[in-house]
Amino acid sequence: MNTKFSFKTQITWLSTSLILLTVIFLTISNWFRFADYAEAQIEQKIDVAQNVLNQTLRLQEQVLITTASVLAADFGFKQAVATEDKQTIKSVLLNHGKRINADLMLILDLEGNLLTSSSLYSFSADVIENNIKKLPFKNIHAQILSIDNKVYQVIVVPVKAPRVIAYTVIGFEFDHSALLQLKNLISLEVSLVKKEHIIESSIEDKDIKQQALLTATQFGTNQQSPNLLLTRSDYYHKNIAFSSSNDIHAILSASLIQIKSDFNQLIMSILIIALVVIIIAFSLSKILSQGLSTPLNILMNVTKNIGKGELEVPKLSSNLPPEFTDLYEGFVLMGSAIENREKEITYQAERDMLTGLFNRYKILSNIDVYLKNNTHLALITFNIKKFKALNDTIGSKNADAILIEIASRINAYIEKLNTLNDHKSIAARINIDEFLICIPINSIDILNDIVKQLQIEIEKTFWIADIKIRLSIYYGIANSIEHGTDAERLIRRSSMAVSNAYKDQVSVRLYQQGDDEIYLYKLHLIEELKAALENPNSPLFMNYQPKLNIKTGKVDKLEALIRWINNKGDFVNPELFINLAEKSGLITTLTRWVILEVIKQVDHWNQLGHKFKVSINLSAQDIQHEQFIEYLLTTLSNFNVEPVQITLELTERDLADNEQLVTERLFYLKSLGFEVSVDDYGIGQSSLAKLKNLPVDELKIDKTFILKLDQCQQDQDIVASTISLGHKLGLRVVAEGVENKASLELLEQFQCDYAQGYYLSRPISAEKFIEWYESDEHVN
Amino acid sequence: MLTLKLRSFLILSLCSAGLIEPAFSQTRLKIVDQHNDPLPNAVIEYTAKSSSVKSSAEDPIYIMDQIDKQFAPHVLIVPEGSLVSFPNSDDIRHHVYSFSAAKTFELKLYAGKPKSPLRFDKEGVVVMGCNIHDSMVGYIYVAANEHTIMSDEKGEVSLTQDLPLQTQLKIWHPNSSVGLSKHREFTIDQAMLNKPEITLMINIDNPEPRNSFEELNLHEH
Repeated sequence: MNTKFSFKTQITWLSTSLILLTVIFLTISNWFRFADYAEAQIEQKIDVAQNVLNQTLRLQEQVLITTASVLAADFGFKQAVATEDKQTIKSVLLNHGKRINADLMLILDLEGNLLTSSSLYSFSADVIENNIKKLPFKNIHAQILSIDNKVYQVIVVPVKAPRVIAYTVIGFEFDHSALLQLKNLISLEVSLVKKEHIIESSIEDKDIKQQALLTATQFGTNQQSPNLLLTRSDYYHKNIAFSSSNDIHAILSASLIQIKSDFNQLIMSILIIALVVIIIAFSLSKILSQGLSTPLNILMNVTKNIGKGELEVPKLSSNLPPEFTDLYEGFVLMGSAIENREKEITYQAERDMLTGLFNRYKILSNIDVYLKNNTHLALITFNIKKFKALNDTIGSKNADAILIEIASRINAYIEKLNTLNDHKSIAARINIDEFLICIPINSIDILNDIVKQLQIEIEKTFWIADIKIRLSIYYGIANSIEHGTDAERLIRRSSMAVSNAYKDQVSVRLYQQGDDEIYLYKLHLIEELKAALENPNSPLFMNYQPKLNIKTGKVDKLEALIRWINNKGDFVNPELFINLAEKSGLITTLTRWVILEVIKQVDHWNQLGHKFKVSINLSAQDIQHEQFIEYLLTTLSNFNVEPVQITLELTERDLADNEQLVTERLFYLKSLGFEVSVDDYGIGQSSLAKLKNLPVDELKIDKTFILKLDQCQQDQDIVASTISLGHKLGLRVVAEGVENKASLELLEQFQCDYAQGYYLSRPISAEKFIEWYESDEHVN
Repeated sequence: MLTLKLRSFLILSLCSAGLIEPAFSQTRLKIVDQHNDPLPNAVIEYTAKSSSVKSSAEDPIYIMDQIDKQFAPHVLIVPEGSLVSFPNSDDIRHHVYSFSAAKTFELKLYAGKPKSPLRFDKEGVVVMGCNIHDSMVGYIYVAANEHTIMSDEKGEVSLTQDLPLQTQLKIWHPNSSVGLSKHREFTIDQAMLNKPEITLMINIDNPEPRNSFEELNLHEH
């Protein structure tokens, strides 16, 4: 169906066109039926007329024959004929002719020759003699005879006296009045035709006469049946034989006017009925479609409302057909079902499923609403200290129980607050072990009280599965009065305050102005570093700090250190950006960059004939990265550098992370010829067991022990014993942060293998290093 | 019927006695139609020497009777100038007429015997009818020739004298196909004479049905 039209229109069209079609077919069928019927009627009428005509002519003949016979038997007539006196005969013909109203009286002798005729007309004898049937006339007979454009019904009667002495021919003309009589009898127009001329006709109209003649002569006697639908004329003509005459034909003309008008009347009445039916059908179908479309519209409005979210479907106001009522009920059910589900979905979308508190998104939008309404808020974020460890210890189920308990305590706390405040306080769980409470406030003075009450509420002892648990919790507080009215930023600032509380190991920390700026600066740095790593003219560059081989007094090793001068031309603290790179996942990219640069540089030095060993700092993420070793080897093979020239430096912390994998990797690297150095040794979780098991070549004693070595006896003891320990374990020992000659001498005395520090050289560019190296400045 | 026959016989014998001389040698003629059926009422005239003179001074009166709505006899031969009486033997009236050239007359409705006989003094055939009984037709053959005789029921005529060779025979019959006013003529040849009986054939038309008006009503095409 074409959807361009409305349902209503379609129904109306359907029914109307169906009826229209029916009417058209009925009309056409009636048309043909009626035409057939009328044609048959006409044919029948003509047949009947023909029979009647023949019968009439025959009867007339009979009467005439009788009349003529009586006339011929009249003694006086016989006597007159027997006189053979022309004048007498003529007079008797006239006289007796008048008696029977004959139009023509003739006497023929026994040979058929015209003796005399009534003087009314003068005929040539030949016409008569040739037309009267051949002699002898055994019987009295009647025939049709045409003489001089007149048609006669003639009776030939012998005159017997008592033997036949002559024949008398008595004729009655078929004149106009005779034809009119015939017409009245057969109710058809009659025309007599001789040799394509109409001799006489009951038809008055010349044109119709002509038409009759044309039709009659055109089709001969074998004519088509009347075709009412095709013919345009008002008459149907049929050529028939007229009595037994050879040269005279009759044309019967049936008037079609009445039939045509009947026919037109029929068609007209059919059309009127059709029109009425169409109008009725149209209005009925309108009513029907109205009956369909009204409920449809009601249902459509319901669905529209449901679509808009108005799930409360109103009660059905008007009476509808039962199907639609059922459908409507269905919509009502659907509406409430959708409403329930929507509530559920909304709940799930807004809530933390475990605790039933709001989630981050919901509280964010709620805070946003508050702030936009100029309601000031205090945001308290609190974090459970070492929740992950707790989870591992007591099991996640119990840990969840704790979280649920916290949530219920928060709710209790909030309820208390809400009884005092017009604006509702709300709470959310915004992280696994982090909650956020949003409290409308009027001034910041009450903050301390609020937090204290919260602390009292939350930090009550937990009893979980008969285990008594006390939690330490960090609170971070931000408020919209001091810290801005942007919801997201406010939340971030409260979170930041928690982080700082954790960092500072204090239980409650207010957001400090500037915390956020540092955070944003770090974010900015990360973005800039990312760009720097992708930039071919990178603002990153490598510096190298020489390591002095104390035994030989020569520099044969270097530490590669990355440096960065940012867009503003500031020197960025390497510790800061490396730390950021580690946190943001950029470190592996950064390390690759470093590896490539260093290996290029080593290759360059190799080509200059300086075989230095260069150490590269790695993070835990680097060594654990899948493609790290592959990349290292590929880069080496691209340049002419031996693995033994590369020392990989890792801190104790890095080594502790995923120890097994790191150990495996290091063993492998070592087998390839790389050397491994432990950086910052002595300040972290230094474990002798690790040193024993790890494939380490070198220990770097942290600079905190070296910087003031010459002044501190304790440092000297630690360094001396560490060097001794390292040597015992077969490791080289490197001291970094050597700042003066005294320290270097001490190290020499302690038999340290390598020294590194400002006393020897700051980290410098490769070019400067070579300059320095070749000037032999370092050799003292 | 018996009376009719008897009467005819009497009349015939009377005629023969008056007209024809008795002869010892007889010649027999037989008149037949085209179907070889004997043809009565055929009138035969032949040429021969007059054998007799008028015997009686008083003219005989010939009778043309009307019996049972029929002329009796059907054909009557009378010598030229004879008187014929038309008695009506029926119990109904007749209106006898003739338009024939030989004798035109009319005996208006009458019964019994008319006042006086009619004289037929002109040679020829007189066709008679009855105006009120169309089926009645009778003929009076007014003969100038004394040798005029009529065939009998068997179509036969006996002549009292021999007919020599080359004798002309004229035969008339009411239904002869040559017409009422004409004769069929024959000449006696040897072949005929050699036979005991001379047979002469005349074509006749089948007699017209004597239409009456009753019959007309039954007439059909």
